Amino acid sequence: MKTHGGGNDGGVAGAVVEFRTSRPEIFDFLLQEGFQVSFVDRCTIREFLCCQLALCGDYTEKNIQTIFLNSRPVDDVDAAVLRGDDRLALSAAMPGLVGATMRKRGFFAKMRHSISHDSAGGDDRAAGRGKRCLIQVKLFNLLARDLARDFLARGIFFPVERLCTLLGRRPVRFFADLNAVSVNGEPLDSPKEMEDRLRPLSGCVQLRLLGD
Amino acid sequence: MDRIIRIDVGAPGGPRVTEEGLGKYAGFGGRALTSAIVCAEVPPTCHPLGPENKLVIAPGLMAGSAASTSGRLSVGCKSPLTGGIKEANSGGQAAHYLGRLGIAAIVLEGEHNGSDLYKITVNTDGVKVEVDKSLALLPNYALCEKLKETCGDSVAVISIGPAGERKMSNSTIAVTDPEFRPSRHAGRGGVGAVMGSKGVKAIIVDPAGTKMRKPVDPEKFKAANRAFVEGLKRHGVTGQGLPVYGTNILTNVLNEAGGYPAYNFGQGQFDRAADISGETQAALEDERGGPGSSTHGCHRGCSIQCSGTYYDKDGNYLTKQPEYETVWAHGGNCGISDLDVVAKLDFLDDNYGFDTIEMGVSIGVAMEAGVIEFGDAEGAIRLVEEAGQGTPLGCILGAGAATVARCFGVERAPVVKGQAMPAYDPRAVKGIGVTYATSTQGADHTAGYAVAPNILKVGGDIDPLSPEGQADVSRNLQIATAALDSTGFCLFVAFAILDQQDTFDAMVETINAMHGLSLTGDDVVELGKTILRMERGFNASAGFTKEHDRLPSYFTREPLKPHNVVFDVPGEELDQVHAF
Repeated sequence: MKTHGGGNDGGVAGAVVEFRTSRPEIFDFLLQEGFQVSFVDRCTIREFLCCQLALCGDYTEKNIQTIFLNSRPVDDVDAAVLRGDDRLALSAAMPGLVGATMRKRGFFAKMRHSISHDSAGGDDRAAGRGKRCLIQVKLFNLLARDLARDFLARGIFFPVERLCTLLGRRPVRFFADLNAVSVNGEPLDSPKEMEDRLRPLSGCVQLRLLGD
Repeated sequence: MDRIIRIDVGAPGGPRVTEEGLGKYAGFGGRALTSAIVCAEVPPTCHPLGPENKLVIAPGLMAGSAASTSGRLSVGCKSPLTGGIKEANSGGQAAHYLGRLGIAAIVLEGEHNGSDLYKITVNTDGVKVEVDKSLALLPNYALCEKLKETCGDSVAVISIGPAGERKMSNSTIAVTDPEFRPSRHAGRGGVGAVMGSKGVKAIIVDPAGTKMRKPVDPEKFKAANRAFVEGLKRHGVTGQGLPVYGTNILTNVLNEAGGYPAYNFGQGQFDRAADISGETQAALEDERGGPGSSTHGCHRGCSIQCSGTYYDKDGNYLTKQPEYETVWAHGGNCGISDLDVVAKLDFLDDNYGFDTIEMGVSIGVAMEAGVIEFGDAEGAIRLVEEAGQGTPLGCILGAGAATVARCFGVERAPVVKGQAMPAYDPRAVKGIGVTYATSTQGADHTAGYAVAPNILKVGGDIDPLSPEGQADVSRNLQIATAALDSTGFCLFVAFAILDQQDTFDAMVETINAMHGLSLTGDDVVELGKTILRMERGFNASAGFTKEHDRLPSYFTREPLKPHNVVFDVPGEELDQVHAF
């Protein structure tokens, strides 16, 4: 079973939004677009998921079936090394022949050989290893639902302008699922105020799910 | 299910209905049956809209039974779009109803004279052909509303819209879903035009008084079907991904991979993909229609439930959940990122009877030509309306992407054998490019879809990480798919049978128990090969050569961003796909 990682940011945000919710999966609209989290540079994908996010075990093995590193499908999570500003996308198993083709080590992986991630070139791994920096992560489909709590509890960074645009499209029900929302430590009377409070800002906002 | 109904629309004194046994076609269903009849009875060099062509409508082998997820209907003919053999298929209620009536195929044949428009009713009393000019040029939804007044809504309707009546090369045959909406379509290859050329507007299939077909071995069937359903529910794709998000779950993944053809295959990523993703679409459907709106079956007895219902902002039905290929064709391919616009276009396509892939690609080519700008949502709607109304520009659009490119002087027509490519760029995913190039059907993503050759052991073991052997993989997929197309099982069972040997075995056991057979995996492979050999033979006689098994040359010349790759599988390798 997956386990929950602890919070640890390290990025720079123009504002920090903290909130409580029993349904963190309501943020899937944002998780699919891509957000930033801090990580320890030059780790493998397995180290990132298992050691830094504490996403280990059967869940990760069975459910994270499709992985892209900088738009390249990954077959070997122990060989693919993450670097600052990389983009990592995670998905469940996909339908369609091409969906099956994108799976890690899938039967049809050869069909996308020319775009697959090549793990060669990781010789510089030792050079910058250990430095904290940011990586962009995208969570698609079932993984956005399942892993929302893990990432939001850790704290994620997202462009504030885009966040305001997306908040403007949320139904009323979304805000009803949020509790104890604060911006830079100041509690909001209503979660709906969030968009107005953030709109004058620029850069990134950190979203952080508080524990129970 | 042992009767073939033939309707000669050119018989002296009016259409003549005859009935015969399966004869030499015994053992065939679905695609195997449509292709066998077309190959045996249609001259390959005939004009697709001429009297020599035939339209064959055939449910799969499991139609009318209690086998889960087995309601697929095949339609075959010589294609007006490709000039080769065609099998297009659809979900909906009709296949099961035909099966319950014991009908293996309906064949429309002969020369239609005059302007009579026929409505055909098939029920336990037999087959009745009536002239009904009041149905002329009715769009599919209005047609079903009108037919409901006299037939009720517990029948299934197989129909054409104005596109089929106008004999446009991009025209579908619609099939009603459980809600009696004409939302399911045998979309590809212009099959609607062939039905239109026979003067047939609608076939009403009334199952009243029929019962579900009984298996030869009921106990074995029950156990196998239960295991099959359990396997579908257990698998991540058929049990979770598809029911929750539908096929549009693929948008984010293909886009991330750089294999999402945006702007008429101009680049491999669309920067607003998240706005039209399956995740966004499912949330919108559930928000507007209530929880569960994003999960729905296209026919009763489906265990996957990959469809859904799309409502407008006021909560009114707009269309069924648009499929991934539709959202891509009218969305990213045209630079459009508004799901409401895509849904509107999907409805218009269904209503007039256009294939969404072909129409979306046609509009993309028109955008490249400058007819309208990329991203022009209102313009795209206007173009489909013109096509539906049969204006001169609309007739060009309704003739398909290759024709649009010829008319407007555009080289970049993403077609093979005249049929538009679906939502996967063959430069990024070369294996699917091999299938596009060599399929008997023209560019078709479903031609190599039954992703189970590992279980069927077609071609032996392969190394999935080796770059060599694209032709081998494509060949094996095409063989497996041709066989599955004959059963009536939905293509989406492919994933559960890819990963779970016991689910594959259960599926084969349901077939065996239903028909008293003892099929093995080898038999399934042999059936697939037989179908492909027939279809290749037809195409060869129609004038197709290996030069037709190629992608347009610009795919070998123009790199696709972001990976900057071209399609570089050699022609010699493509020529090996059908070497079996």
